[in-house]
Amino acid sequence: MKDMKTTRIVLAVLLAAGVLLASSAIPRIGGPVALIKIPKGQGYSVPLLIRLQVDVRQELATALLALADREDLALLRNKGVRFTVLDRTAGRRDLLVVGTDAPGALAALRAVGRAVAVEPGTAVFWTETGNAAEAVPAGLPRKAFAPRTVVPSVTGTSVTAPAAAALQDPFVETLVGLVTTSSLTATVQSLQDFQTRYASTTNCESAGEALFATFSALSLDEVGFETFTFSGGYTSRNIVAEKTGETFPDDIYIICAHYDSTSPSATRLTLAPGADDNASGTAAVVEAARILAPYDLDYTVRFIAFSAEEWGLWGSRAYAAAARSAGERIRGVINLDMIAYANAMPEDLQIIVNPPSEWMADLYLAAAAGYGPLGATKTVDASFVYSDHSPFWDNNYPALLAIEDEPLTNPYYHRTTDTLDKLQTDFFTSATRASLGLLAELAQPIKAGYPRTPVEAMAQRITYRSLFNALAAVRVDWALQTDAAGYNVYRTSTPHLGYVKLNPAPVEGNAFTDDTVSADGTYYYVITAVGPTGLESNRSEEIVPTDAALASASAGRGPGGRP
Amino acid sequence: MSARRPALLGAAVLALGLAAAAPAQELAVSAGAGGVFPSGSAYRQIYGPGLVLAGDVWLKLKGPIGATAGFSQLTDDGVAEGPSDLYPLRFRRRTVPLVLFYQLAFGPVDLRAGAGVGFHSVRETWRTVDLEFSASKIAPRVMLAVSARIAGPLSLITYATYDPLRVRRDAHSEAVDCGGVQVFGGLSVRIF
Repeated sequence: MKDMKTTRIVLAVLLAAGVLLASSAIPRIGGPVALIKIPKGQGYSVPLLIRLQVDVRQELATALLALADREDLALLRNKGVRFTVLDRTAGRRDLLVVGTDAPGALAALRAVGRAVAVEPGTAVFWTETGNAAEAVPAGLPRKAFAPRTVVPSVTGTSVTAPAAAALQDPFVETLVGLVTTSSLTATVQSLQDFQTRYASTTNCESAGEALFATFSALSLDEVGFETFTFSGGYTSRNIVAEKTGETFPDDIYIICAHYDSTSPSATRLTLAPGADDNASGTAAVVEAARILAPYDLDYTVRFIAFSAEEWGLWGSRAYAAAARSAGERIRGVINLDMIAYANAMPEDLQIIVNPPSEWMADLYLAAAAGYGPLGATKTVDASFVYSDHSPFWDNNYPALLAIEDEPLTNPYYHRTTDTLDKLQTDFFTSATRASLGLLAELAQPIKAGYPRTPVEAMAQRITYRSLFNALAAVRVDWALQTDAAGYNVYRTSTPHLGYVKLNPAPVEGNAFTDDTVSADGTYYYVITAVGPTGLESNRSEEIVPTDAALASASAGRGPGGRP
Repeated sequence: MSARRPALLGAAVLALGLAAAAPAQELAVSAGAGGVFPSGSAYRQIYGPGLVLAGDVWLKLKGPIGATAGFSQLTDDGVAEGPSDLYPLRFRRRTVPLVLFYQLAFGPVDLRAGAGVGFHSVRETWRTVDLEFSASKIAPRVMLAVSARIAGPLSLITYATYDPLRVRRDAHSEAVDCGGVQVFGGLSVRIF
């Protein structure tokens, strides 16, 4: 009996220990996940949000939308970050951001699901059952929450007038001169002829096949379909064509547009011509591919026609997430969505970017001035998320949206009357030329007879510090090449724009020290090779100096001096 | 404004002490040299320990109270070093201390403990580049001194001071710790 009792006690102790061990191995469960709104401009910093691991899923103009469990909420309160709980059990739902500028939009949303106005013109929408994306009334722009945490900018919206000097590369001017109105309108007509390209229809599938055939007929390196599922059970396909770069094949620029269309729910399965939205953007992408295909480029360019944008950016979401997972180096995305309707001439093109992509807008404005010619306006607004650039922002890739007007003025938008005859072809052609000009400036066509583009460029910032002062220099290195008689080194303080040559005469070696920098300045460098006849190559990759390993000071050393 | 407050306080304490203890009983002057052991890691890294020269006047008042004032100069060389270049630096600190002390006498040995302020002027120069920084600052000072009479008016004196001297380049930059402990040794001559 005594032995049995001892055995029971030992078993009980072991059981208790097992339970304790098991419970400690269970990951933290913070209870239901709430949807919260954190207003901008209340004094917190982005690093604080990152340190607290706040799961921000959407940046708006005046607030951030985040998912947070009970523990997160306590942490935020503890740190004095103000927030409003919008829904206590949001974590299990498919959440959409929906534009509600249209009269009666919020009421229409509330008739089919739950909608919370989060700022003027924007609501978060979900349904208790069924598919939220399908429930959104036609005509309202929508975007699903980012699949992972996004890095917010916590800056407001700013609009600046065009300021950059016009880009005027003669070779690029030749390329943009190849854009023809007839080619653009022919593509729009061919897409319009599918009657509808609503993403769930076979017509949309046929339109995708036609685009695949169009890209395949060009001398591109790869053309393919990328199939994705959306909105529960549907599938659709992006068409991805690639011109692989000769010098930097792993660095990618994308020009894209969605080719699906929509119209009111009664007609969208049979008639949604979508000439402006977005056969216009798709035609510009096709035109860019047609013109660039015969040329070798320094960088890889992908020409992409996305599908299911009208359902909530499904095609671009799938693509951008896969690119991020694969670690692809996407250097910039030009998204064209509605670039052919002009409510009044001359029409300005709106270029919308988030703060990290602002350099792209600056460059677009310069390209528009030089190659359109076209007026363009930059808007820095991370909350404008209703097109295919937005999933790239969510995945921390730079991207811009080119759109004819924001807010839209096209009265045929999402209607059966959005047809080719409503488009303004001069504006359409100029917008395409500007977009192609920007793409060519970024991708850098390789010109025969010119030196090769310098590679393996590196820059190191060396900072010498005393107690109260600092002296900085940047050393730039690159690989020597046999076709170069010398090299030029350029510097700018804004990425990709406004380069200033630092060397009065070509540098003969493969290194250059820039001692005209300040210790706390931000600089970007590019190098070009100069051939024996003075022809100058394309620019190297833009490089940002890294800090040198040693930048300190030491005691008790004898006097030295600058060599 | 913050630099003026300790100066005013020091001056007030000194004035009160003098008023309470006058007239003077003893006046001595001392000269010495010593080492500075900087408390700031950046200073230590660039300049390390340095040599200080000092001269002081010691005024013993009625009772155990006294006051001392003087002048000291620290000059130190260092180097700003990078992967390929070296930039020689020179740091100079001049200090005018004003300290009120309490004295205990043990036969020929006097022990003095005091507190006051130091009026500091610092200058850092890059010797091969046109870069320089200079500033003035008042900082508190504490002192411990021991003197031992050796013959007639002559005494050996040794004393240690601590100056918490933090200087900012400008309102936006972090304060640099230029202070530390200084230990002096020298000779003192009694005047009366």
